[in-house]
Amino acid sequence: MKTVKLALVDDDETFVFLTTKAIEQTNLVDLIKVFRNGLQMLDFLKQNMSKPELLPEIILLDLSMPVMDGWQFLEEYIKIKPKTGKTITIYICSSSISPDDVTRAKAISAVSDYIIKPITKEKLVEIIKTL
Amino acid sequence: MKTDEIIKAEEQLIQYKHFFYNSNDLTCIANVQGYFEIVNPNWEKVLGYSEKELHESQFLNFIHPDDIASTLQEIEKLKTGAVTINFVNRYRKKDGSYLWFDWNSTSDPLIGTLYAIARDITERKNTEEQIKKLNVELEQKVIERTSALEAQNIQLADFCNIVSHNLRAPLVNIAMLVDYIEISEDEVERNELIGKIKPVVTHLNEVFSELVESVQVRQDVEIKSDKIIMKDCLNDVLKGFETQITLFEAKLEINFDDAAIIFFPQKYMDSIFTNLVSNALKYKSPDRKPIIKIKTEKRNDTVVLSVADNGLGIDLKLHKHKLFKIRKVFHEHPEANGFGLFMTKTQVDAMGGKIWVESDVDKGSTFYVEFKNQDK
Repeated sequence: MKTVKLALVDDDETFVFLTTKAIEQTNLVDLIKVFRNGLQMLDFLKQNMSKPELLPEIILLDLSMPVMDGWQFLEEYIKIKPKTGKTITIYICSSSISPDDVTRAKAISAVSDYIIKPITKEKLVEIIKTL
Repeated sequence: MKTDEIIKAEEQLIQYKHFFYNSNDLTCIANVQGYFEIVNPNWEKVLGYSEKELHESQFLNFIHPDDIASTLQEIEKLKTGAVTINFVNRYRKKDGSYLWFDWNSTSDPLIGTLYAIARDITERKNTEEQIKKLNVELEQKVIERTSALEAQNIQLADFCNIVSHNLRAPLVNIAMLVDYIEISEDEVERNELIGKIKPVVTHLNEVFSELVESVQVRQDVEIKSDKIIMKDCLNDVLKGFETQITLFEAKLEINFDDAAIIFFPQKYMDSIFTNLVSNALKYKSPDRKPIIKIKTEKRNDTVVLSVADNGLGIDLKLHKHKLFKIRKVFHEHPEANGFGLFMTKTQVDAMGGKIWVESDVDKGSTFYVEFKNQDK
């Protein structure tokens, strides 16, 4: 079985703590990396563009973050996507239940789905299994 | 001896005269030299001049100065045999007021005679003018109402976002923590989880208070403006920052010469100064000592307060649209909490003022607050 690396892009410490726990409990993920905002994630992707073995299979992306929010990250990601040597599945994972956010997210082709927080262990398993 | 034909013609003439004299309109025969030859009695009745007065003066003298050129042009056309239909000009009454006349005329170019019928359309004109004026007013009202509704819509959308995100996020965290505590069988882990609840509750409390305060500001339409001596107000606020100012060796340049007094609610002004000064200090550059320039400038009936720093600056390309929103932070700063500017904007908005920013990354930011109706 191939290894699964997951990136959690979120500035909410409590959420990151609990979600990391839930991900660990699935026993399906080999590496969890946490980024505090969109820019940190973007920089990591840019630096490792030519090393697919370091890039995550899944990104769980929060929307509201300092410095660079989820939307701004997606805008930048779309620009570097063709040069990225790997298919990365991006899920937005936000506490926002605003229909505006959901519609906007669904319109972005790089986004696989919009998950409203909290994200359950079952949902995580489903995401990883559909890879 | 009159021939039958002449008799018949005279009879016809008498018949036509009835139409000329009894018309409800103002009928006249005039010459191209500019004088009335015959007018029907309606002229006297409508304009108030005697028949003698009407004959003595050139008819151009009765016409509104602004309409003389167009009237002369129309007469030139008539002289060539053209017909005038619905030509409109203004005639002066004896009392000095003007009436709108709508003309239908023909001429006999050979003998230089004009045959003209004027209809008094003043009432119609006035109604039209009134409708036009009402339409303009109505349009203005629609524009005003629309922009007020748009502003309210934005506020409502903001509020919806705050509730769906800023309030929901900590709630989700608490719910998740409680779930984990329930299933956890390890005492150490349970205690760790319990310890994580308190900061989330504190955070939730802060967001909630901020939200309640902002709603109160919006609803407090009755709040009175105080006469604020800017220098004193700022000095009071600065007392709270003394430690930081000394520690950072910050330099303050204050100039309220242009507008020393502002009319605004005291507690809002305190909060504006506190937030802007606190931001200027908090987001200082690590490479230079802070210089903060605070001044007022009079612009017509408004006063613009500016607070300029030489700090980190804000990337407005990235952050402009959310700068004044609740709980938005733009720097990875431990004390950035995203409360200040949202509250400041709410207070300024509530008083009909404006707030905006100019900024260059790593050069500094200048915040401007415009206070309205300061010409007291």
